Amino acid sequence: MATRKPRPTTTRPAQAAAAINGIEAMLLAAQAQGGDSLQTGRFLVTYKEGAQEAGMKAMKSQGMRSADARDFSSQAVDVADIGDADALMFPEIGVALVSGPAFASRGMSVQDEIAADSPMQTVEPEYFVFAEGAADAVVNDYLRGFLSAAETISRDLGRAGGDQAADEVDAQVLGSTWGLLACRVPPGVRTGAGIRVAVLDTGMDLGHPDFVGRAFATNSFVGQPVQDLHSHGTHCVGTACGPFAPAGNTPRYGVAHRAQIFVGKVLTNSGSGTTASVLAGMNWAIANRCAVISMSLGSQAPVQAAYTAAGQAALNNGCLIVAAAGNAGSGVFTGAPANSPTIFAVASLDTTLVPSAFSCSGKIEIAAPGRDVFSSVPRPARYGIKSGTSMATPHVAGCAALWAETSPNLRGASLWARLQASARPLPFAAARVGRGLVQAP
Amino acid sequence: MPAKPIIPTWIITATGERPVAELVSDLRKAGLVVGNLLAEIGVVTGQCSKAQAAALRKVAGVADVSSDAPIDIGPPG
Repeated sequence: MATRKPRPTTTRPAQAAAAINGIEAMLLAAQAQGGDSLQTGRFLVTYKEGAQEAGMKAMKSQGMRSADARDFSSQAVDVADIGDADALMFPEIGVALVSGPAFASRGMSVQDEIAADSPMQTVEPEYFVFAEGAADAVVNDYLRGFLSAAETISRDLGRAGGDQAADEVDAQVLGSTWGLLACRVPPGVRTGAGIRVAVLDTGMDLGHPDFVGRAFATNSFVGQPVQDLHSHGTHCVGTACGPFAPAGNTPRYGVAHRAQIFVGKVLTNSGSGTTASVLAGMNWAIANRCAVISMSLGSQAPVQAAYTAAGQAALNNGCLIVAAAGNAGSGVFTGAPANSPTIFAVASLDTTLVPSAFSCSGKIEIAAPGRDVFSSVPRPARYGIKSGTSMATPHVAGCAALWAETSPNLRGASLWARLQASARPLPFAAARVGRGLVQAP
Repeated sequence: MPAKPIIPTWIITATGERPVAELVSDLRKAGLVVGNLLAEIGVVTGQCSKAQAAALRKVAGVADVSSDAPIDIGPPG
């Protein structure tokens, strides 16, 4: 799961070329070393919350020349611009990128134990990250899926209401993702205002431009800052609670755009965690009476008593936990925690509204768009496309928030029942899609 | 220097039939080093040996004792 991002970003073409050349040079160096390592040769030092200034001082005392992202316009740093500095500090996220030679010459190693009083939380190698295809190919795949979904929806509505209905959908299609259209989010008037939605995941890019002015309640349960250095969490928050009208030509991708966002970091920046940290996050979200708790995570484990107890506690307190069924394939039973009877399990649909091949089956409450989902990712990329039951889950969480807004009586078990009763039936077994495709009010 | 043995982490789920403070006190007596008390969901996490964990299962008010396990986002997402 190589997820670390070299973060070159610039709006200036010459600098972009320099950054790309720099990354290409590192790639060539890595290839020259042989093996299948995806490490860049640089290292990422994550500081404890509030300890980055102390960390910078410690680096300087070791004779390191460091650059600071705050010295760059809008903190949009191009790694090619840091000159001969040994380290680049990102104070906003409490991380320093340290060059390989500077790291080695000071006798540092990722295997070293970090002293309890050190400002450092973790030291990890930086990894190359590759998109699943060239940028154009990704966009083309997305557009193909988008058109396919639009055709499916138009065809269905055309059958029901004639060409006029199909034309109306075409007009709406232009401004929203296929997932939001499939869930009938854009025609609705609900916003999620006043509803607390918790997303328990890898955190959130708290400075993402699409979330300016949105308040975040945050907590980390994994010893790392909430700032998302993975991208999974930012993607899920985007789908559940992203803006009504993102800037420029970006389509609307968020469902409950005025919901109160609670970000619980229960997975590290490498995308992993343990039952104990996940349960701590669930406890926090329930203590805060979040009406909807979205969990795009899981393991291929049998039903866990603690998750079942947490799901029951949620329902008793007017909260609903929605969780991803898992991506191990249709022949594999729903994983934990979604397999608990008190937790609302979500399967994934492709753009043609058939169950995704990767989507686990068995104990499924509902299905939602999970293939080629466009949403927010951390800067500098800002947007990305991902697939998985992880992406289906926040569609359900967002729709649940919209339903919760319609009535204070729709909480916990009654919200569970309403989501299922209002779902659009699909011609597939309940073990694959539950009661069907989630629908907004 | 020999590596220190890793003490496993356990997830203890309460039945809800006893006051949590009493339960935690008995878990401590049975050898659990309590990490987190998750009162909202009736779960206690902590560390102890496998043999001590077996003893925890016999404490009144304990519904389940399971070892902590890894969890992730899973492919393909």
